[in-house]
Amino acid sequence: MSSTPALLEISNLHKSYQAPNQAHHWWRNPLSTSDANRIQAINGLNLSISIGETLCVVGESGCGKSTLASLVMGLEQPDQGHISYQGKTISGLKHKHRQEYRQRMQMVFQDPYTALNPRLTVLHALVEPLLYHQPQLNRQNAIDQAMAQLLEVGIDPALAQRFPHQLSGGQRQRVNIARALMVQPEFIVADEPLSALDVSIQAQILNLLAELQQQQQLTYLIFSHNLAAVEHMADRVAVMYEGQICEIASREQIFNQPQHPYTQALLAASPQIYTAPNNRQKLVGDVPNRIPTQQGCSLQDRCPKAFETCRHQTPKAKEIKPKHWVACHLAPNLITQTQVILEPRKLP
Amino acid sequence: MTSPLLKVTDLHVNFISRWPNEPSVDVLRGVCFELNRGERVALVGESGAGKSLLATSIIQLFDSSARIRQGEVVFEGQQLTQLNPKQLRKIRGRRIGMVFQDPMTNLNPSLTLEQQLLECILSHRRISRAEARLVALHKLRQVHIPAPEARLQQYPHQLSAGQRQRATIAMALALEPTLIIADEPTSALDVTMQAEVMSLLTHLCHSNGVALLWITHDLSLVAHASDRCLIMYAGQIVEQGPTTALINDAQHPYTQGLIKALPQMSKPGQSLFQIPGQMPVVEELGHHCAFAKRCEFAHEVCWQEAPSMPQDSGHQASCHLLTASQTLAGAKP
Repeated sequence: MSSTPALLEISNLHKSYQAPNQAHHWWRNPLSTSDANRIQAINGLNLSISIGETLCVVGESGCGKSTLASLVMGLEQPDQGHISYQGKTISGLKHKHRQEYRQRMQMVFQDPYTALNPRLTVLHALVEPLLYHQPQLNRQNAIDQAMAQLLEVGIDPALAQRFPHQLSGGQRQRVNIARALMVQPEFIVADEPLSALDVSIQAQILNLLAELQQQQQLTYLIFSHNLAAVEHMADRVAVMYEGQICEIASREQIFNQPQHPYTQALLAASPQIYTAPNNRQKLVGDVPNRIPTQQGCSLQDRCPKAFETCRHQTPKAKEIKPKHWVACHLAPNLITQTQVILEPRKLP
Repeated sequence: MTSPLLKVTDLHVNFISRWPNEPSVDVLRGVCFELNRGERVALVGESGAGKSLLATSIIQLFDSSARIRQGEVVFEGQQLTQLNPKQLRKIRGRRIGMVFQDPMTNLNPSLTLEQQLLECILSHRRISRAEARLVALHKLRQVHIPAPEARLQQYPHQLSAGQRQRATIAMALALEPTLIIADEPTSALDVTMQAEVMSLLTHLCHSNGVALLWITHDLSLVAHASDRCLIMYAGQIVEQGPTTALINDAQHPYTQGLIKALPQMSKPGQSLFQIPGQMPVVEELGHHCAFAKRCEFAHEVCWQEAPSMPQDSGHQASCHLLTASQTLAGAKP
């Protein structure tokens, strides 16, 4: 999708889980592997991230963002498809071979309160990954590196001996970021890094992330549903729905000329401080469970623009402008109007 | 002029220390505000500012170690601070409904929606179960829950997050209260759900004439879903006024900082404005302006005495720079 060398490439990724409400019927058909019992969390997803960019993935909860993060980090194994890192396939690698990549890609978790071990001091939490990856390293040397890292993320080294509960939310998220940076990774995956934080602290963390990226040429893959923050930091934005990317483009394209009805509705729902909201633009209903009994576009029940083709044909991603991909049957024809009005579905 | 629905005057709340020699410090330090019938008021501030404590102090739902040390809470002409627990229980739920932040933890996971809704209705009203069930169904329909009859038999984990939050709103509305206190009702929800829940709350308040006291830290939501806004900092209300006036012409440096720190307020790629430092903890609060340490406009007076809140209706802020005699040329924020 892009001309600059890709750092991470994901092609045709699938991941499904056993549907929870079918799970207790295991005794009925213990060998059932039929697709009807499985929820398709990631459903044929393609994505590529170039070196040094910030790609933000937005979408409602339940669209598969966190599953994608775990797949990229190797915390889960995909059912189908593969993930390659600088040209080498990393999905399906066994523990030992994976080790090298664990050091090069690190994750910042959503909730700074639970991501830190409450029984380890800040210093201990920072030194641990370093000694794990470089066991031959001198302990004093490791401590020095941890102190330097703390300074870099703006935490007073005097706090190094504190436990997580003695820190504020913003400080904890900084420690999380510092921990991810300890092994000098080149690629950071952040799953909702801001959602647990206050507005004033969000600003601090956004500035910190931008600063660190400049200093260390980091590549970010950030999952978020805070569109205002995404608009601020992203180079490219991918909109995810039902385990697929429904639109991916540069920040300017997504925010100024969204093409997919879902992107338009998402943007309309995001509150803006000085412009009045457009109440007519909204999606009604919840994200349906992905049990693939239904054919056609996954948005068909919530999209008022849906027509006959949407019911039985799954839209394929089309490149309607350079580097602007949309998966919608209507895509090239929706271009002119940025303000598509999604009428609410009649509720029973 | 009719009297306000809720009037909180000079409210001080402190926590009793477990150690006998340790002095107890006020966490709410003289909060005053009024709320009229049918009005939607947003209470905004960072975490730790005392927002939730203020909301729970109104109906005394707080921790047993907290005490109202001083001040009055008058609701519908009744002094809530002087009621005994039995009288208070009649007010909670019946006259003042509450919606909590996380819909997963405030619904009982082992009871169906019907059991929970009926429990709430029957504990306040002497009606039959069948009648109560009709009320419950009606309320679920009001909050747009599809197929309410089937939903009544379901457990909270079978609903999506948005539906769960709507169910708690239905529960708060079930007894037709005149005031709903919502503690971060949308923080645990998606953007699309946020918009839906807020427009639902707004609509219900308008059509039922219910007043809403709404706690949040999201200023961009406040801008469209509230009539009046209270900004809270370190246990005090530092600025209050009609929402549009307050957002367009913020007076207090803290409010200005909160608005400037929003990501949409600076161009993509630029670094964001940040309020330096953190909110002081209760022990650090002295007899000066609580915001002085983080304020870029702070000068001598700010460190000598705490600013007072001008007592007029309308838009007002408690800051030394705003009181006419103290205005320094060029230093006015």
